[in-house]
Amino acid sequence: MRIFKLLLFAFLFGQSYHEETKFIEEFFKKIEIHTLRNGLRLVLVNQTHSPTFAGVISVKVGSVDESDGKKGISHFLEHMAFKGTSEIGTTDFETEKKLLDRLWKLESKLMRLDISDNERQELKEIRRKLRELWRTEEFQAKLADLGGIDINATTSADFTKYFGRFPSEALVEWAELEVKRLTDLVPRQFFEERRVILEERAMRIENNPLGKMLEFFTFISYEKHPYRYPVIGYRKDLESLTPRDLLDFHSQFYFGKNMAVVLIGDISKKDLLRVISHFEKIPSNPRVPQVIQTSNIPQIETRFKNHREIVKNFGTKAILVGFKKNVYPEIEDLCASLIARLLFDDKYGLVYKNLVQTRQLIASVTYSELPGVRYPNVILVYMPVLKDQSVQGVTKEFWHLIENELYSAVTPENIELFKGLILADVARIFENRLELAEWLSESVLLYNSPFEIQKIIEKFLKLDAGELNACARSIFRKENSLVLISEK
Amino acid sequence: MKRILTIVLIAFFGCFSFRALKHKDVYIVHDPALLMKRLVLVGKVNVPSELAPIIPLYNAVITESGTASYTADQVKNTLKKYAAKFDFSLSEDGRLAAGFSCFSHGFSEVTRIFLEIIKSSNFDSDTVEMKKKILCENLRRNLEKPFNMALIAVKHFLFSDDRILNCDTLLKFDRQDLIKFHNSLHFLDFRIITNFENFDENTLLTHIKKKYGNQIGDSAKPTLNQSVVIWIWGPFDQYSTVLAAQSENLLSPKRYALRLFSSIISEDFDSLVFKKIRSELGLAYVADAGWLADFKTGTIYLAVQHSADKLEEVLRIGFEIFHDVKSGAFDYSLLGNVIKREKRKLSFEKERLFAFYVERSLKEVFGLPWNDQDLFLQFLANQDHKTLVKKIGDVISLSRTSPFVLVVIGKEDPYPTLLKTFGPLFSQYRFVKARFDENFRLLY
Repeated sequence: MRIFKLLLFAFLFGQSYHEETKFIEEFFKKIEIHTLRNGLRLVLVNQTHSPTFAGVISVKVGSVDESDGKKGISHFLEHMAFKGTSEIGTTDFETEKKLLDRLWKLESKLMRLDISDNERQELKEIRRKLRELWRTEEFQAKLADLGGIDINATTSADFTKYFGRFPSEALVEWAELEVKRLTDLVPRQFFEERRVILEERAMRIENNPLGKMLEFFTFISYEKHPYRYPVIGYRKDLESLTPRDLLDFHSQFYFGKNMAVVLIGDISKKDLLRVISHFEKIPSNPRVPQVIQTSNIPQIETRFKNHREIVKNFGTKAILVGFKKNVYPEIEDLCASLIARLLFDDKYGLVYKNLVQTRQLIASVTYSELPGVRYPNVILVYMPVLKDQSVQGVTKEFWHLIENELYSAVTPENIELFKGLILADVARIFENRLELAEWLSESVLLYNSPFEIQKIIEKFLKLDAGELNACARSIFRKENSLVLISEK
Repeated sequence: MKRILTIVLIAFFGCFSFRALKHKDVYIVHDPALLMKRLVLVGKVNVPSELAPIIPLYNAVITESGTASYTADQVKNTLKKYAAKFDFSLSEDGRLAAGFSCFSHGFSEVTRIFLEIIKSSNFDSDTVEMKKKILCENLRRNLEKPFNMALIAVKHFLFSDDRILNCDTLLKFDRQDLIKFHNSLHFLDFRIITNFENFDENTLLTHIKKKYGNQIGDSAKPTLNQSVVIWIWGPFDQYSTVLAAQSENLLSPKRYALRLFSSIISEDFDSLVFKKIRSELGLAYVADAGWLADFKTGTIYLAVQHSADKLEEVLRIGFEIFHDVKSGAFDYSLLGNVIKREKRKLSFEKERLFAFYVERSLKEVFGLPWNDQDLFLQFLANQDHKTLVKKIGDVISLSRTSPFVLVVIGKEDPYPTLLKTFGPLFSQYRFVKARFDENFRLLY
């Protein structure tokens, strides 16, 4: 185990952050890592002040791993993981299985408009029989019966995560349930859920001006790389996906070596052994060869090459600006985080101070890192423009500000203040078990260790004015950016 | 430092909490999960109804416009120095939750500023003008968010509330209005919750107690006597539909029955609305329902975002679910699930001790007992399912024949579908075509 370098904090900040850094140091001392026989990494942090735990299961699969024509499949699969198993969600799986096979064939014929009247009638009858067999939301009910809260799942470009908070006494049952759905997923109610996902897409993107704008921006940010596609997928692809596609995709990515489990809370040693025995039931390797090998795609070259400003209306008055950057372990990533905060913080940043507070040209400024963190990405800045302002005019003012005042803003005093702000954000994450468990699981899947977070904090605090100035000059310049302007 | 409080140390499941017993004003809560230091002031504040539209501006300006002794920039620089975050939220029903988190070494200085803000925020004109513009822009951007529009329209029609904030009203407020509003506010009761031990309670309490006063009576909310169906045009293919009826507020003696109703109808994934509308029929991604209440008003509602051709089905099923629950025609095992889950959830109170104290203190200042959650569990445990079902039935106020408000937002005129859905009943309803203009005024 690495020793957390508390002295470094003390050196940088005097004794100011002693209490906060001591907490973090103690936290890392408590980390246990178990690499199971199937390659799954289980990270455990014992915190006994409450008889509860937060559990996160992360799978290194997201929209970046999807092949053409199947965009949205990882998110679809995440939805289907709540539909139960061969034992949960049905009263008679043997009968259901036969009906499902026939249902999928007939639904496929219906989609191709190649279905006879008799088959139509048969389809109706099968649906009726299945509805009688299904025990809708039984899996979810079992999780809730454990006393769980915040039970949910998310899919991003890089990861799919299943998580919740539970009473400690429910740990073993939780692990058993989770492993069942990870190994014995039955895509029942597939067609109903597809309609749900299409409604989700309608809500998040098609009926949301900013959603449409972001989808377009991400698409033009990458010329070839799969980061260009939306996590929720395209309507056309979603409509053509089949239950078989989901099962194949599941077999390609849901295996031990591609997963990490993080548990933070009050966990007994005795229970831990049983939890491990459950998670060891997950296969070690993919059962079907992976279709897409993103690691083989040349990364940086696939993003936008030259600066462009695109004007296109999405039903909103806003500007998106993206700056290309590398991702950790490149030190540029850490530099970019600090400079981005210094520029675009929604309270203290240079852009807020000038364009929101003083000149009142935009309503706010926010930024994030998109689409993911596994491959070189983009720092995306969003600025909603005030009604009486010209969007193009505000864009010019934005560049004027960046080009003239960025370097003078990167002062040693500012650097220390913004390091403090980011350290406070880190401290606030450490106060939230679920958020922290997610972060640790990403660290395991990206860098093979939860302790990389310590190294990141350490390297971040070491950044000096010289490095930061160089980083500001290479990343936050017009030539390295892509701009999307929506005038109305 | 001299402590004015009688502090009693109580063991609390492995960590220690100090609770003030004599004055009941300050809780010092040792929450081992917290790194940052926090102080939260929760209060019951009188809010004159006619001044309610100024609240969003007040919330936005009060922490950012300096005080008698600190300029706005000085405040900002101090907060930045200690990575402090202020949160200030006053709501129309008189709930105040204000406080901050910061690094421990900045606690005293940040507290000083916080107290100054409570006592004498400056409301400087420049900040007021800037925040007005930003708030107005945010109001306009609600036009891109159909659910926000629907909820605002529901409030307007359900409670005959014509105080909806729009840009015209907002832009007329000035610094003097804010100062007048601030001076008119006073605490009817308050609590302070902190995880920092060594601070000057005397100063803190003195500052806050200066703002004590008497309650100003609030006029009763008008009763809806006819169902109203509102279509608001918006450039959306998907409909945002909200169906709502008046209900009890958070202080009601019927609150436990309403909480139970909310749990079985929508709280979990296996609850009735989610299971039927989303999982079984795939009609929507967002399908929510339940009891929504503050300390003044309460609403029973169903909210769904769905494609336009599913409006009839969504409403039919929605009304059916309410009807079935009212008449007891649902699977009673849901009640057992709620009881089991609520009991097990008690474990989490120790996981977020600080938040738990804030939540309970806020309820306490409004007159709810500290052990309200335990009383809810007793309510669940001490009655058989049949009695619980009857109690739920008694609190459901939403049906086709009792007054409700239905708001549908979307491109297509829903009138023909609604006519079909409600049949002859529709002639008894008031039908309204409305729209929000670019200044976010609701016109109809």
